[in-house]
Amino acid sequence: MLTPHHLTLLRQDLRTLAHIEYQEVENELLDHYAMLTEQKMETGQVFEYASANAWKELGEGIGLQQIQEEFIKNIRKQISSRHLEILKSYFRWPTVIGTLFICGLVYQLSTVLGPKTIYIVTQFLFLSPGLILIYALVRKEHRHTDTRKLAWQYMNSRANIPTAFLQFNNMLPFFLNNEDKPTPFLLMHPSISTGLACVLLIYTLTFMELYRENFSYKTAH
Amino acid sequence: MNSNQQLLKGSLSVIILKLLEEQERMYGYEITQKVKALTAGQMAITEGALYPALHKLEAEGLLTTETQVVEGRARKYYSLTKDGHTEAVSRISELGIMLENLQRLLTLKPAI
Repeated sequence: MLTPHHLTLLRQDLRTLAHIEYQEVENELLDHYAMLTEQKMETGQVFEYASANAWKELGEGIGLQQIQEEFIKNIRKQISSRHLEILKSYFRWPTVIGTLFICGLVYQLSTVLGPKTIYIVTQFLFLSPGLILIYALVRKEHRHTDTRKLAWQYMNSRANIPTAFLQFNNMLPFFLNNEDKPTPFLLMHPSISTGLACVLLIYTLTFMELYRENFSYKTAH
Repeated sequence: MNSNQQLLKGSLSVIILKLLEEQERMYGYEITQKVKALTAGQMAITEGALYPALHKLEAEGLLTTETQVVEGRARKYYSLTKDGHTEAVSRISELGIMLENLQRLLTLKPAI
């Protein structure tokens, strides 16, 4: 049987030589590595030789990195599927009634508030997924560094999509107008702005729902 | 990769499901050793193929996991879910039919 010191040495190999970062993968591989080492020690090898031979059998780290990459890919796929599932749920019966009601309300408000206000609201909604992340970062910073790393990475990348659209909207007038003070595209087209506000509102709601999911994927360090 | 390993990779998920059907719960290393023992060392599952396959089956909802601390380290045990049991029966049967057909093709007598 391996001592706690032996296990620490094996864990270090996984972290430093194979760059294993995720606790779930690390625990599973540590057990496998330890079992292989123990098997070799039973044949009379001392720990140093046994662990070195076990490491060779494990592909000297390269194969282990591949396992971690597959794990990351698998989890990302699950998060992405979950997000899509949440998004689809807004268009399923009977939730679709609520979605249509919200869109109708936004349209009614746009006629009352005028193009400038709806333009400002749309601009704010473009930034809202990012604002949710900032809120999460301030409130649960430790969770950002230790847990939910993959879910966080996914949400980070998705929050950038509306921001990129916002930048595109702000750049567009420079290409379309030759005036000194070009009018933003969405300000010139309030109906498009209203439609976008609806889409962004739904996207933000899916984002909030995804954020509230209890992802249990943990990192090793 | 030799031809044995290529064949093994293609049917790895069925092998895992079958082993878990026979034994209530198993961990990764145990699966590799069981395959080695059952095939008298003719077939060996590599860790690089086994763990991604286990994680994929878990993501598909066919396997469930339970972690236990054994000899100072965490050990992850896999077992079949209800869907896993159904899927195991279906996949084993499909592979069985395929192997039967393959056997027929391989033992085909040349036409006179």
